[in-house]
Amino acid sequence: MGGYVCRRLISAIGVMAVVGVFIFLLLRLVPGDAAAMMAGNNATPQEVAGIREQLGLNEPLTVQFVQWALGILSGNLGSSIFAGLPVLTLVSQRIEPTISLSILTMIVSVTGGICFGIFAAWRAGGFVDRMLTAFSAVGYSVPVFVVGYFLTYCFSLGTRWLPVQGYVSIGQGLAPWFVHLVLPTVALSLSYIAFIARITRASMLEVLSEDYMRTAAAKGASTYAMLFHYALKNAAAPILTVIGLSFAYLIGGVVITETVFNLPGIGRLVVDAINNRDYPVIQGVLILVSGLYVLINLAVDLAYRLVDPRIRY
Amino acid sequence: MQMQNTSGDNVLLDVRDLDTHFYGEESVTRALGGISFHVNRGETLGIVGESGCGKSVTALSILRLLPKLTAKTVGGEIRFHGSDLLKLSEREIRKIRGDRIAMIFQEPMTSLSPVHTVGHQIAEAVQIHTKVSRSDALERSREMLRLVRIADPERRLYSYPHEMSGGMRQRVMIAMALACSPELLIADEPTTALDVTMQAQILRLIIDLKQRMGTAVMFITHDLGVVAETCQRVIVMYAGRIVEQADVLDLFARPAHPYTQGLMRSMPDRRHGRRQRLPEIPGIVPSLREPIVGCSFAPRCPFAIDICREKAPTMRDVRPSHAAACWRSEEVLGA
Repeated sequence: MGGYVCRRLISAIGVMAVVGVFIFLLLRLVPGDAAAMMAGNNATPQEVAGIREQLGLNEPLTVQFVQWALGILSGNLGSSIFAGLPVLTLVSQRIEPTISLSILTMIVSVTGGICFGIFAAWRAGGFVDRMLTAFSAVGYSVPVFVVGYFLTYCFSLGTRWLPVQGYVSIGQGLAPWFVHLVLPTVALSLSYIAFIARITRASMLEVLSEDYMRTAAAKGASTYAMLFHYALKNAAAPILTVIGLSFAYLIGGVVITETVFNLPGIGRLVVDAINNRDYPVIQGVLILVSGLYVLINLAVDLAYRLVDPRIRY
Repeated sequence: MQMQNTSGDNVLLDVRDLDTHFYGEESVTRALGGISFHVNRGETLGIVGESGCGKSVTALSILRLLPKLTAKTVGGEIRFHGSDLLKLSEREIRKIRGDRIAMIFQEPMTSLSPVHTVGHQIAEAVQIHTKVSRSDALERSREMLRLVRIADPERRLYSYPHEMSGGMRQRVMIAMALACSPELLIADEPTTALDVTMQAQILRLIIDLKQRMGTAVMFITHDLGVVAETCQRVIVMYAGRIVEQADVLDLFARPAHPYTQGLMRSMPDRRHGRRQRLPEIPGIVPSLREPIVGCSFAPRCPFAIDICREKAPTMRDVRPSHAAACWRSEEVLGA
């Protein structure tokens, strides 16, 4: 187990190094002179030269990379060209809405998806099961921004139950914070619920026909215990995989959702940075997001051992 | 019909005219065609017959563990302590399963959950039916593991099924089934998947525990040798029906149904030590998808006459507590 964790950590570091190289090259591979593009059409040559200097683009490529990598390793992700602030400061200013939305979405998607999937598998071919088929078709195919605007139309503009957009920090009260996050969370969760529910259903169906389920029934276990205690733990490995994947995809979904609902989060930070060609911000956020992605994968791999004792590393 | 025992105080389980059907895409299989038998308190009843004759279906019908979508018990009664198990609510039958009637299955390799510890799985059986703390339930698991003679029960409590052999897993199944001291244990081919030396050990274990705990055992097997060693009474099944019912000594000494006779002839006999080809029963088991006219064994029966092909025989006593469903039992006995 310990050896496995070590090997996985080393390979995670390797992955991050490769990702780092790509992110670094991104700035150098964009067509044209990055500095000139960032400076805009009306910039004087002096301004362009100033940006070149600030980005360190005059140094040889290898020197630039070493400087950049050392900076990241010491926790310095560079500074925004426009805001003039360190990327980490910008990220920490914007992290709260993103984390709030991500966590709420994961809670809703995982509980909703698993319960939906279990129920559909338990009564396979029944009403709930057919609902799931229809629901997942919609959940997969309708994009977040359509669902988002539709929900806004119904619940904010139509009934005025919920705010149209914007964000209230959790520090200013739990209720306003929650109310502002309901629609974004629902809009973003739909596709994940569909995704997790489909896999849960498939995995549960397989487990429900196993001999040990009959043994559990012969013991006198209740339906609830059979489904949630027995079957779910046996069916957990594939479900865990899709939850990990969902978490990873969430990062993309969050960007769009934040734009639709005007939440001042990391997604908006990135979108603004791309519009402004603020490359240090893009690079910094990319590094953080990739790091998170690799960590989630690592966590999922380690979690398999918890649900299935037969797995040996 | 064997009626003399069915209303006495000694009867634990009384099955009457049990009819179970399986529903396929286009056809209905009459897996059980109205079988009646009883189990006395504390006795060991053997149910024998070849694969597909309805032995396991009988067991699963009693505990209502048949797959819900494809199988249904459409008729009959299963009397247990005055109530009909077939009429109980789902909640009521759950209270009986594992507590008063327990079951062990043929496949020890797949019948235990691979992701829960053995101790947990036994403890759960206890916790479902009695209000005890987690630690008391685990204590009971430890005791049960000791009772089924698993070496090092302290450590095995925290083992997973994949860390155990088939024989050990079957011991765990037995421990789990007996954890609540049931009145009836249904053992569905508990030794079939095990190797021969293990078979004998497991059989001895079941019989030993049964005597200690006073549990009645319904022993389902296709092995007449197992029946001879363990059972007091035997039921022989063929094509979803009971064809003969007798005390074990009686059955082996004087089989009254040609099918039972055929089964016994096809048993290897070690005492003779001759290397000869075992006789087999010619023909195949009839399909249960179509209605059977007459005696279901008639096409394979050396004694068959016209009436056998026209009218299905019912169980009738050929001697006290020995019944057979055969028109020609007297001739069979005399043969």
